[in-house]
Amino acid sequence: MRLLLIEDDVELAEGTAAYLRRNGFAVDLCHDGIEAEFLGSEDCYDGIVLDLGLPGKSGLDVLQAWREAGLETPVLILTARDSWSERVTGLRAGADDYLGKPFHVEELDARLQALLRRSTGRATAELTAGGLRLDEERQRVVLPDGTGHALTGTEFRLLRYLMTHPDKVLSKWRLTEHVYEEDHDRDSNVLEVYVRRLRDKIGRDRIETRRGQGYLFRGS
Amino acid sequence: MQSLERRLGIGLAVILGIAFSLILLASVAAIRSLSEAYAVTRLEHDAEALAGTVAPSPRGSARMREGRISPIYRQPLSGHYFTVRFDSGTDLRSRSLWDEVLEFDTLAPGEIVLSRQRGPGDQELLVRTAGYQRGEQRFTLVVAEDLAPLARQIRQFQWSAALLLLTALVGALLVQRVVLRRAFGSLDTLRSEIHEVSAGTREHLETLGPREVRPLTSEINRLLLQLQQRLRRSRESLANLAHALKAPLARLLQDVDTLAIDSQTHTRLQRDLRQISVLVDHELRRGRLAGNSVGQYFVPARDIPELVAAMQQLYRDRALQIQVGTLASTAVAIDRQDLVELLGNLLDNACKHARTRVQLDVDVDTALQLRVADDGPGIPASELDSLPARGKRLDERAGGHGLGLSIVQDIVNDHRGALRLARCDVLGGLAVEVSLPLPAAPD
Repeated sequence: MRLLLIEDDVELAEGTAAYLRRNGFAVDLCHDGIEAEFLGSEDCYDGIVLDLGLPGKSGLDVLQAWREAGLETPVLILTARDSWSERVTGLRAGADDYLGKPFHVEELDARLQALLRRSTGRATAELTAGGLRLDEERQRVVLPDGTGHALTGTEFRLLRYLMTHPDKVLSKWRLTEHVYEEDHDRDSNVLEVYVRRLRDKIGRDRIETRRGQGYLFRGS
Repeated sequence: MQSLERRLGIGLAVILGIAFSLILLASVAAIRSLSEAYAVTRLEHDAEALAGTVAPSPRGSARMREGRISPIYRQPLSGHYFTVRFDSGTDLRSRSLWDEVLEFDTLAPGEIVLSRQRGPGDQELLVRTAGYQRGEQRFTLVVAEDLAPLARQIRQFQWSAALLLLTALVGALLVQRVVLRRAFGSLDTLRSEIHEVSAGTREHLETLGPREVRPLTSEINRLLLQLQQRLRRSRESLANLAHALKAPLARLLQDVDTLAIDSQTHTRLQRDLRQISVLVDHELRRGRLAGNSVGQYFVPARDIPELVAAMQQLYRDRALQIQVGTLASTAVAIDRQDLVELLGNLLDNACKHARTRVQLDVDVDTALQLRVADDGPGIPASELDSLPARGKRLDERAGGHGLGLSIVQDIVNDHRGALRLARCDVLGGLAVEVSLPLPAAPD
C-alpha cells in the first residue's frame, strides 16, 4: 500500500513516515501544496494523508481540486485546525477522515488501515483471501494449514496489494506503483524477484503469471 | 435634570407663561384706558347736552329744560348723574341721584376737572366737573358715570383671555411633547440596534438617527470597528500561537514513543503532553469566545444536517442511524462555531458508544435545548448523579467511559448554560442534555 504524506513540518513528516513504513506502507513525502496537488493526482496512491496548513496552496484547495478532477483516493486530513466546524468543512470538501494534531501515530495507523480497508470494500479488520490470512500487525501470512511465514516489508506490501485485489489482472507497472516509493529503483525484474519469493512462501499456483499483462492473485 | 423632554417642556412653559402674561396685562391695560377714554368722551357729550338745557329764568333763578334731559338721568340710581350749581348757590340735581349728593368744588367757566368718587350704592364714579357760562348765567356742571359695568366687562374679558391663553399654553406643550416623542422614537430603533450589537447579533449600527445624534452614532460605529479589529488581531495571534504549538507537540508525542525509557515515565510524559494539548485547545477556544464575539449565527436547519452528514461519513463503517428531530430554520443568537463544536463532540461521543441508534433533538424557546441520546452502554446511575454536580472535569471523572465532554462543559460554562447527563429511557444509553440561555431580545 502506497501512501502520500503531505505535511509541511519536515521533522514531523519524517517521523510519521518512518513509523508508517515500519507498519508496511510505502510512503512518499511532500511538503508543499502545489507539489502535493500534482503528486496526488497521479493516481498511484492507495491513500493520502493531507495537512491543511500548507505553503503554496492550502490543503483544502488541493483536496477540492482533486475531487473536482474525479480523483477517488481516500484522503485523511491531519491538521492542527481540528474544530468541528473545520472538520465539517474538510469532510464536505471530500475528505474521508479527519485527525487532529497532536496525534498518536498508532491512531493514525489504525485510521489509515480502516480507510484503506473501506476503500477496498472490506468490512473486517482481518485481511483474508484465497485461504490466506494476512496478519497486518506482525506482517506475517498464515496459510490454511496454520503455518505462518514472516514477510519482509516489500513482500508484505506486495502480498497485501494482491490480496486486496483478488482475481484481477494487475500489471507490473501498477504493482510497482503501489508497492514502492517514488524514488525507489523500479526495475521490473526486482518485482519478479519478490513475486518468486512470495510464491515460495504461499505456494506457486496462488499467483498466476499472465504473459504480457501482469500477475493475478487467485482468491478462490 | 435627566429628561430632555421635561427640560424642554419646562422651558417652553416658562417662556410662553411670561409672554402670555405680558400680552394679557398689556391688552387689559389697553382696553381699560380705551374704555375710560370713551367714557370720558361720553361724559363730555352729556355735559354739553346738559349745559344746553340750562335756560335763563325770567325770575333770575336758573332752571333746566326737563324735556331735553336724557331719561337715564331720571331713573333713580341708574349710574348716570349730574348736578348743576349756579352762582346763586342753587343746586339742580338729577333725579337719578335720589338722596345722594355729589361732592365737588365750584369752578370758573372753562375749567374742567376729571376725578373719581364713590357714588350711591358703592358705585365707582367717573366724575367730570366743568365751569360754564351761558349768557349771564355761570354755573358748574358735574356729570358722573358709574364705571362698575365697564370694569365688570373688562374683568370678564380678562378671565376669558386668560383661559384662552392657558389653553394655548397647554396645547403648545402637548404639541411639543408629541414632536419630541416622535424625534426620540428614532432613538428607540438605535437603542435596539445597540442591544443587538451587545448581544453579538449585529456588527454595527444601521440607523444613524436624527442629525443631532448622528455624530454620536458614527463615533459608536467607529469604536465598534476598532474593537472588532483589535479583537480579530488578538484572536488571530492567539490562534496562530496555539496552532504553532501543535506541531511541536505532535513531534514531541511522536518522539516520546521512540525514547528508551521505562513505561511509567513514558506514560507520564504522554499524559503531560496530552494535558498541554488540551490546555492549548482550551485557550484557543477561550480566545475565540473572548469579548462576546460577533460571529455567525447558528441556524439549526442548516448547520445540523451538515454535522450529521459529517458523522455519517466518519462512522460509515457502522450501520448507525442518526435521527434528528424537527429543526428550526431561524437563526439562534449563539455563535455558530461554538454550537457546532459542542454538538460535534456530543454526536461524536454518541456515535462512538451507540450500538445502532443516535437521537438528536433541538428545541428553541427562551433557551436553546439540545439533547443527544444513544443506545450504547451508558454510565452507571451512581456515577451519573455525581458527575456534573461536583463541577469536576468530566474527562477526569468519566475517563473510563471515554467521554470527551470537557470541551462541551467548557462551552456550556462560557454560555452560562446547564449540562445534564441521564439515562435515556427510550434508547437505553446515555442522554446528554444541554440548555443554553439565549441573549434576551431588546425590550
